[in-house]
Amino acid sequence: MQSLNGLLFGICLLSGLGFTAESNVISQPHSKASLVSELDRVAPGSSFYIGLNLKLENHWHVYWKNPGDSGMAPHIDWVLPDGVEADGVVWPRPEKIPVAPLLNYGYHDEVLLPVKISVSESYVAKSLNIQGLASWLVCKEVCIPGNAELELTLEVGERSSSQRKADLEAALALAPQKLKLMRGTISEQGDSLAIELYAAKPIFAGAQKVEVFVADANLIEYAAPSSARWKNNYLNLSHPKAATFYKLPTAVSGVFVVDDVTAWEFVVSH
Amino acid sequence: MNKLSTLFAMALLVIATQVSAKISINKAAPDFSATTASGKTVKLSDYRGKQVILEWTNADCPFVKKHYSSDNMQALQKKYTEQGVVWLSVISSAKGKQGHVTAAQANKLTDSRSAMPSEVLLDATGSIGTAYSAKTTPHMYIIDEKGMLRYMGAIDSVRSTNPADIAKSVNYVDKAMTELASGKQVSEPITQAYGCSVKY
Repeated sequence: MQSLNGLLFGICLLSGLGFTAESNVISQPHSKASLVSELDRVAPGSSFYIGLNLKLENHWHVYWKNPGDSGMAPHIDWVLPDGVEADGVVWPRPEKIPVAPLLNYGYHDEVLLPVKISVSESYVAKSLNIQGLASWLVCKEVCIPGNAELELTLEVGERSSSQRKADLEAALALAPQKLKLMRGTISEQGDSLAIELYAAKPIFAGAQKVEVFVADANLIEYAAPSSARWKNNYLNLSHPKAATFYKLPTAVSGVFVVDDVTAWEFVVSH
Repeated sequence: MNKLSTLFAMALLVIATQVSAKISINKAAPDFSATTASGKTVKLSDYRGKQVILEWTNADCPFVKKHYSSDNMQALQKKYTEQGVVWLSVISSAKGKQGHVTAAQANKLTDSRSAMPSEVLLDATGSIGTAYSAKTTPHMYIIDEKGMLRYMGAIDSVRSTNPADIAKSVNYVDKAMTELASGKQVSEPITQAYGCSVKY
């Protein structure tokens, strides 16, 4: 009995001090959440990525930063030690999820949402504890909120990658690249909004398909089809205005996905 | 050939007219006729001379639950119906979809939640919802005494299902009603509604 107690104490001690690149996993109806870290060991004065991993049941989805007609983007509140800061989520490119007659922007099956964590040079502790309070909405046709208190502790010292590094790299590769423009405008053309732009590179050359995801709310009718023509570095895309359109902001941002492969983050002005 | 292209042009014109017949702020709100949970037939135009608030709802939606479990929605209903405003809760869930209710179920929900709408409109065909481009539950609209649409959008500024967020939100309906009461234009007449999709 005595030795069993000792053993249990030892296990508790180990897990208490345990450094791990993956947090606890919280199961919620139709979804599971955890945090994963790119690094096992972090170095002061550098940054790295941690991701919120949401695993969904088949046919269920979560949302992009602009969820479209309904829904809600996942949200994380961080609890971090002094000298450690979290950026916003680096959103992987979304997919269109029709919920006839409406349309949402989001992710099916599984998504990893990377967040950059910066550790100041003056960080002296031997370990780095990261807590993320995640909340999200998972939907099929009906929607159910999920919540999770997630926590992991990393060692501090010489920078060293974890086994989950490849997962974070893959998630970051799904994020759109910043699109450099020579010129880009958005304008009202009757019942449509028209985007016309000249990219710095011929990113539309030979493209079969160009899809737009607008990040700003209340501008386009998400479920309506776009009409677009493009050549080399030129794109002219028209999309019906939202029924709730009111006015065009001075700058509009979003993502173009070319041939379901390459994603570009754009900003065009009015 | 000429006739054909004229016909084609006319057809295009018809399509264009239909597309542009969409709901617009500071324009006349679409009239409708609806059956209420209390068994009446009401028209929007019956309420000319009064302000009307439309609330799209679905009792099983987590965003609707946020505002009912906290009494936030009931408090707004009470505040404005006591001032003579007409509050219409609209249920556009199709038969067999989440939130669809019979008249009896709708009345039971009103009782059990101590809700205080003037009427609950049963819109299982979705015709009122479509006319207003209602997309989410909740989705809120304010129509003035002359039948003009003055606000459409979210109930408040914090998109979440957590009732604890209500205290730190700006209630857009309250804000718009206050602005209208002091003879001002609504400063944010359109916001992006948040919630579950309307189950058409």
